[in-house]
Amino acid sequence: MQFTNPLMFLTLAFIPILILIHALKPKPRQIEVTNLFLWQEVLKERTSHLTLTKLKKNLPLLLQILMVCLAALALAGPILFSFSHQKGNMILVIDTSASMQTRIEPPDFRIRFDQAVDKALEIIEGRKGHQKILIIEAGREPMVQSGFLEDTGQAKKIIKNLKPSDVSGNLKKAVHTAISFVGSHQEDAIYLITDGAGADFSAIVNIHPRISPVLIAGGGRNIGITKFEFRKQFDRNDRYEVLLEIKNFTSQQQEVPVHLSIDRTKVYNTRHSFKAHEKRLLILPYSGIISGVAKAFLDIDDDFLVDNRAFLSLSSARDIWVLLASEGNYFIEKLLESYPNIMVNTIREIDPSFWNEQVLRHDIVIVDRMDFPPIQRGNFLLIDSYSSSIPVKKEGSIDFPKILDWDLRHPVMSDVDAGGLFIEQASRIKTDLCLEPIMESSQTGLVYAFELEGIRAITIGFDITRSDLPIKIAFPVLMSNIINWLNPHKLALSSMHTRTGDPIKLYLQPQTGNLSVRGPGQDWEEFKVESNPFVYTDTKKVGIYTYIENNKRRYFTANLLDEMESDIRTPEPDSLPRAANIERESEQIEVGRPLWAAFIILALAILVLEWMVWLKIG
Amino acid sequence: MASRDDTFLDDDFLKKLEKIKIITKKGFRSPEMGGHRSVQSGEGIEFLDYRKYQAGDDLRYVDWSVYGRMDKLFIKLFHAEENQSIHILMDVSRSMDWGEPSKAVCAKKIAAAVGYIGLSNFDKVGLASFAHKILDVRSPSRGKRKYPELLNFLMSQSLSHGTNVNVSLAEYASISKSTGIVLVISDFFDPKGYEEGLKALTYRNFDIHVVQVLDHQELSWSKTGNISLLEMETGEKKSTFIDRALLDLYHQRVAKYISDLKSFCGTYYIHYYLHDTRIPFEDFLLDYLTRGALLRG
Repeated sequence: MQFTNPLMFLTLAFIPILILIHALKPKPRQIEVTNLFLWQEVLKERTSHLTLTKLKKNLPLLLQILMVCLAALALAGPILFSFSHQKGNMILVIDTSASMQTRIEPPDFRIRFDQAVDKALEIIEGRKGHQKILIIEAGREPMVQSGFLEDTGQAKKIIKNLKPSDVSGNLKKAVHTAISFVGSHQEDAIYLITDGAGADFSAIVNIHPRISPVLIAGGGRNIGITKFEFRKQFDRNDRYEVLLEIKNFTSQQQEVPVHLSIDRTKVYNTRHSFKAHEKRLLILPYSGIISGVAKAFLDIDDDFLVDNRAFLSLSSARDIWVLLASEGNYFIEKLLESYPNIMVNTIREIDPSFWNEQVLRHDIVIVDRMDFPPIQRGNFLLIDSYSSSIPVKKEGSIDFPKILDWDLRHPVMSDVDAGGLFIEQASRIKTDLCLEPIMESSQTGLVYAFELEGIRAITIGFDITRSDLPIKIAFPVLMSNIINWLNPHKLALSSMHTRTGDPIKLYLQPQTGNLSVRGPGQDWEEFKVESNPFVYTDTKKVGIYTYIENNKRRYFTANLLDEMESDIRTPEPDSLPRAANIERESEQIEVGRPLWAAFIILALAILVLEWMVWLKIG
Repeated sequence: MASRDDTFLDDDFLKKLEKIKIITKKGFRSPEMGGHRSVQSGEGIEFLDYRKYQAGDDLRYVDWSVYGRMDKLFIKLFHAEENQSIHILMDVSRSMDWGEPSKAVCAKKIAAAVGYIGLSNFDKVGLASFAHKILDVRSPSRGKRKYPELLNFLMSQSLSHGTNVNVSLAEYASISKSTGIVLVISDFFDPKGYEEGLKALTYRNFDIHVVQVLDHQELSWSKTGNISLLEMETGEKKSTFIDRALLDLYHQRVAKYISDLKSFCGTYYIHYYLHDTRIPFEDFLLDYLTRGALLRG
């Protein structure tokens, strides 16, 4: 036995104090009696049992000393080490990806996940001795649902509370997470409870010898939507094309009615026949008002329903309000005029008392060669303009800086050719937050893009009128990129959608402080907006999500659209590599068992005993 | 004259007592005729039986009407009228001054009541107080008008000595000029014993009645903890820790002490009564003593 906290034995110092307290007897009460001779006879008789009497008299003290000893032992953290055949802890990885919703054959209509839960409970029930249980939910991202539990009931409760989601799984990542919990002595067992669909299951099982696969099978007939997109035709403004990709995952020919509706109006309703494993891309022309929610639906009762429907929230371009604070910039003004849906308000000087209100009323604010008061929110294009509230500061100037590099991967610099750009003079820029420039010269950064606490801004560190940028092809491309990056609403058709499990960025109006979001079949959830765009992560269900900002209701959608996940066929058990025999290696291992609880229980029992003694003998 | 305070016997209770007689199964010869029917036949007014005439019988008691009818001589027998003496011996040792009400008050009440009954029935009632010896004696006298004197005697007794029951009772047995009923009222808590004293009274052919007066606390001691026991009469001290176990032992010991006294009394045909001072005095007198055949209504 070892003690993790031997200093706690100092609590034994209470024993002399207890003895002292017991030694302090109160002065006896004097009572007159008429028959002392009888008392003396009685006392003489008791003296013959003196040892027992003394023991009884001192019983409370003895019990209290024993109680202090037990408490000291418990506090010292005793651990009893023994050798056991026990093979360490068990780690349960339970697959909650969309394919686990596959219905098993009738008549019970249970889904694979129900069977997985049964298997997990069976494994927990078969736990040996003091094996601890760790539960990992394998969804889009692995999620550790518990620490190592000793309580079987609690582990079962966690398993029963798990629900399958509509997201694509990442079994490999979950397995790696599980391996990170495997003890150094390699005695822990990883139970991988999954249908093995949509992944190279053999490779995953081979990652670690302690993985014991528990394969869930049943159901396998699926035809699903694997792609659903809208695009605008290049030649016509009001003409669009719907891209719908459908795949037959079965080995038989299947006939499927395909429905498409936009904002509850049916626009397509045709029956298609698919050969075994055929994947077909349907391109459906559409003309008309492109606003609302588009829904594609396969009217077939297969085993996997999640991919039988897909949604898109569509919105056509809408007006963008731009505040231009400039003493006059011909090039900017002309360019902004060329965008049909950009509305520009121009101010020649900044009045600090109206500044914040003006900023909040516009989607984008362009400040051209002016210093401006501190701001808290908004989307900004700052052309050689600075403020104390932004992390980009001017520290002098540089003449004729030579362009060194620009970041083509950044959306602002996408398709921008800055080679040969001539700049007469640029500001020497220093940043507070070690921002990386997206365009730089050898002496200083020239263009920065950053987001922080409600501010989304691009700083161009030179006067564009003192450069040849406005007369280069790169200028309108750069400005379009900037407006697209700053503006929540795209310049053209946009569809707000994401894959289930992926976070979605909601571009909100600058003044938005609170946001309400409701997922399919869920309740409204309130959020405080602390950054723009707002990143919403709870997209586990396929369907239409509604959000309200400033009393305006908007929508986005989440779809599975994952060909791998829709392939719900389970691997053949024979094809799997032989799992490591966890029970085979049965050499004894040293197991530590904490004993503090036992000592505490003993101390409490003695406390009860003392109470009973007190009741009996006073 | 003794004052009759509220705690003593009131007039209504005394009227009830007048209807009660003290009886004894022993016949006592006395030169004076008393007011009690004797179990022996003799001169009296109450008819007892007939018997055949024998030579020497007083011809005054021949029933001549029977002779006329049956031609045989029969003598009429009458209950002899006897004189009865009642001796009340009361313990006035310091140990009697214990309890609430004190054992002495209860003892005095019993003595007063029994004395009043005796005086009402024209018995001779004598009183004696004892502690370590006979302290005071009031010679037997009869008649209800002697009751105030009896009360005076009782009230004048102080509780200031230790007990010696044997010496006291033996002394009374030797000094008493007449026998009769003797009522000994005491707690009988005497480490030297009581047997010899009671035996001495027995040898004088007294019809002995013992009333052991005890406080309820003495019978069922309930105080526990660290206690210093102080003997009232000797001033001796004993400190001890009284727990439940010791209490049980004490209760057993007291029960045995009482049982021994009772057993001794049974052996010597002594009537024994235990008076727990918690029991109302009137109940004790009318119920317990009547049931025990000292008194008859």
